[in-house]
Amino acid sequence: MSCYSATGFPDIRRRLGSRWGRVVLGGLLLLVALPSLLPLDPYRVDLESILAAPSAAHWLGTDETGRDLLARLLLGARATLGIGLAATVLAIALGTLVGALAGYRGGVTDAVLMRLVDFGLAFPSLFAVLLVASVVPPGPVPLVLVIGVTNWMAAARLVRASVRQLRSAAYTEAARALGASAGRLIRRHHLPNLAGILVVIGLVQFSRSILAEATISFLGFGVQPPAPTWGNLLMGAQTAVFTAPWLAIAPGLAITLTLIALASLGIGTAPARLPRLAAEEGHHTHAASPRSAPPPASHLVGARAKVEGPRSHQPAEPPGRPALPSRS
Amino acid sequence: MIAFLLRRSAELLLTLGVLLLVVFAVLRLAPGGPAQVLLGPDRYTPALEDRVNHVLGLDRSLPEQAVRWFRAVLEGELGTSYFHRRPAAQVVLERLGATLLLAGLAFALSLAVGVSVGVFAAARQGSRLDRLLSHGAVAVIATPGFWLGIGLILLGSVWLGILPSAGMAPIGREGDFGARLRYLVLPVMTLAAGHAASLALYARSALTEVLTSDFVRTARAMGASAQRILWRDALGAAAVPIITMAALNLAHFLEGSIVVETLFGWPGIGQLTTASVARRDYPVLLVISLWAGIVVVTANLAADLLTRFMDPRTVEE
Repeated sequence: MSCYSATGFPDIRRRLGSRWGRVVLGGLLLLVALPSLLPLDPYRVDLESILAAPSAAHWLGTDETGRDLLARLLLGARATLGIGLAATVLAIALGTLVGALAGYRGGVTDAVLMRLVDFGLAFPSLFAVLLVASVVPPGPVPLVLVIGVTNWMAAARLVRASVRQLRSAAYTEAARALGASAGRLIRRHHLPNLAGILVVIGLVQFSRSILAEATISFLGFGVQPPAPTWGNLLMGAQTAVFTAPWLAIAPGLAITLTLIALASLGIGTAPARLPRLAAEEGHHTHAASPRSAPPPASHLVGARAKVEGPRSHQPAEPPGRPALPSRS
Repeated sequence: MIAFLLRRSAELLLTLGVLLLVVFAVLRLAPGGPAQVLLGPDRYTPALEDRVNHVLGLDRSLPEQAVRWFRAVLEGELGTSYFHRRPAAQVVLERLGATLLLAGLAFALSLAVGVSVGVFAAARQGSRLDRLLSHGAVAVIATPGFWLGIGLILLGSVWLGILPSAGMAPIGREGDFGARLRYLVLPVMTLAAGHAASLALYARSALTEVLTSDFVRTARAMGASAQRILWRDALGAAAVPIITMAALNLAHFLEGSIVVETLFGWPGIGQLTTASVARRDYPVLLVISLWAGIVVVTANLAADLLTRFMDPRTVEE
């Protein structure tokens, strides 16, 4: 455990600052910045070149009204990544709040909140999102709210687990013995400790949110055309798949590559940040130093839940599961 | 055991109660209503909207609506579909068969493929093939279902031209089993792929851990064949968490089926969900939420029972 600091910050920074991390972060930033840098108009209708195949003039081809797919894909990155990021921040904030409340208060508060979390984790969130979509007009802001509100549970559970553990840590006792107030304890000692974990959950949640946005927009209840997102570009592509398959390939590839990139960042950080927590939740932990390079997949899934001991009705997520969303 | 069952059943009912309350709140508190949808843009006037709301009971106070509604649900009266003008429960039940067929086949396929690949990879841990399979599984997990589905349509229907891309059966030949089978191939593959991949990773890691345990070494020392150890002894020991994981996945098949059914025009509950959202057909959405809730809690309960049945160590003192 010597390779990470007490606060968790430097470790995360190193992970995100690794070559892979720089490539991924740089790529995402570039995606968001490019629409302003390139002389492409995502809304320009060109009836001369409807459903044109990729060419020198239109690198990724054009859609059913002759709009340039590359331009729309790049602008769509802003929507998809932006909504994903905002929803992630909301989900993590809510999860931290609930998790910390449950962890510090304990007792009845804890029991009630954790039942709520169990319930939320069990119910397929796409149903909840669609329910809300049936009553709220679609758009970016409702999307952020609904994705955030249906995705805070995993964060709450992890934060609660680490808060409980921090609360009983020896240094907490020491600080308390020295007369530190509860507020000072949380601010100075516990929050910095949580930061590392929050970054890790944030990475997982970011890919979940991206996938959620894409799925809802694909189904037609998210961001409405003509504003492009990766999801609604695919919705449009579906109808033209027999005549213009290129419309489907690029947006889908964009989503998949982004999720894989985020997953590989998560793989770097997850085992490093979560071992103590995992031990508390009853999972096997990886003893290997995070910097050694074990066979890749073993870190992707973490280890299976131990079978001994009573289970709660839903096993906690294995700590090192792939930093990927559940299926939808 | 009986006390356990009773407690779990009580929890189950409580969960469904909470679910109903949430659904009610979401559907009733939000702006916009079914009247506009029912009337359509041509016939819509505010006066008519009030009348429709009155007929549907939507003009009463919220607590009153909630009480009336809970009582109706308890009596098995789940409302009439605004769109179909028939009992909502009937509309949903008609679609149940199609969804069960699709999800059931996909579940079986993902279990078979996922566990096989996982065991196969665990036996060759660290080899090039193992790395290939594991990275492949991660790539599949990172692929959204709808994109995978479009890709399969491209491959099977557009380029190869051998598989139908939408629907459940050829028109006019609904009784032809062989013809219907072809319609299942693409949706089942799409729905199964992600789960197969995550199960493969899960099974691989479960097996990896078991394979280092003492009893495996003993079996090896006693001369048991590698295949026997792998598929019988080790897989047997790792079966509980794998099956639990698979049962818990069942709930997420519901999510997947929404996307897959909509994409492939499969006439099941998933497609009904998206259609009902677009139509604001609240009674149908309510029944669907109830059905989703029942599936989820039942799957959780099944996973629990299975674990207890297969591994006596998990029984609480």
